[in-house]
Amino acid sequence: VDGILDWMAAGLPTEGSLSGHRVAEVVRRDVPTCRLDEPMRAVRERVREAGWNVCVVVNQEGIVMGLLREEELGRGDEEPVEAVMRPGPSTFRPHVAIGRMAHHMLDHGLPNSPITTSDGRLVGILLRDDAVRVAHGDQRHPGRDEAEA
Amino acid sequence: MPTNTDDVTVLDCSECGAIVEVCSFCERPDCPVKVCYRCLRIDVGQTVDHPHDHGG
Repeated sequence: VDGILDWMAAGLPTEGSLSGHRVAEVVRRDVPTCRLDEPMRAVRERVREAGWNVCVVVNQEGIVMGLLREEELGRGDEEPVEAVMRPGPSTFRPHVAIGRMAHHMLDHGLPNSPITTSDGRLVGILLRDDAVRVAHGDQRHPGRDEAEA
Repeated sequence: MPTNTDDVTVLDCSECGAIVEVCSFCERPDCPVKVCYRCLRIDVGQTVDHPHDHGG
């Protein structure tokens, strides 16, 4: 099964019961990242300059350690990221159906959700607006199409 | 065992009723549609059936 999950995680086409829009198609792979020991002020400035309001905390291997959403990004100056972040956020796999994620993100009021491989390596971030748009039939793929524009 | 039930907050999964500390999706303890880890994984299809009988 790992083989087909890896295939789906790469955004490659599937058939039959495994077909349908998947998180891998719309995940934003250019989400800003930071390390545990970086000072909050520097991270906040970098993230905002890049036009984002979320940053994923990763270690040297790219494993997700935490998350800085809007609320956390507004806190701290010289404090390290580790002291401010949401530790161990819920993560989801790229093969998950986009419709189910959109449904849950709306129900729970969650603006974004980190996407990882099964061993915890960051793939990117799923934005609620992207998930809802694709789930409701708009076929554009935000991250990819904007990168190609 | 507590005698005053007013002091007891029952936190349960909105789907199966299992007791949970925080919502497995949004991680909020006060989530109105709290869901446990097991129900969430099943619901989003975090695991998929083997595509072939031989598990390939």
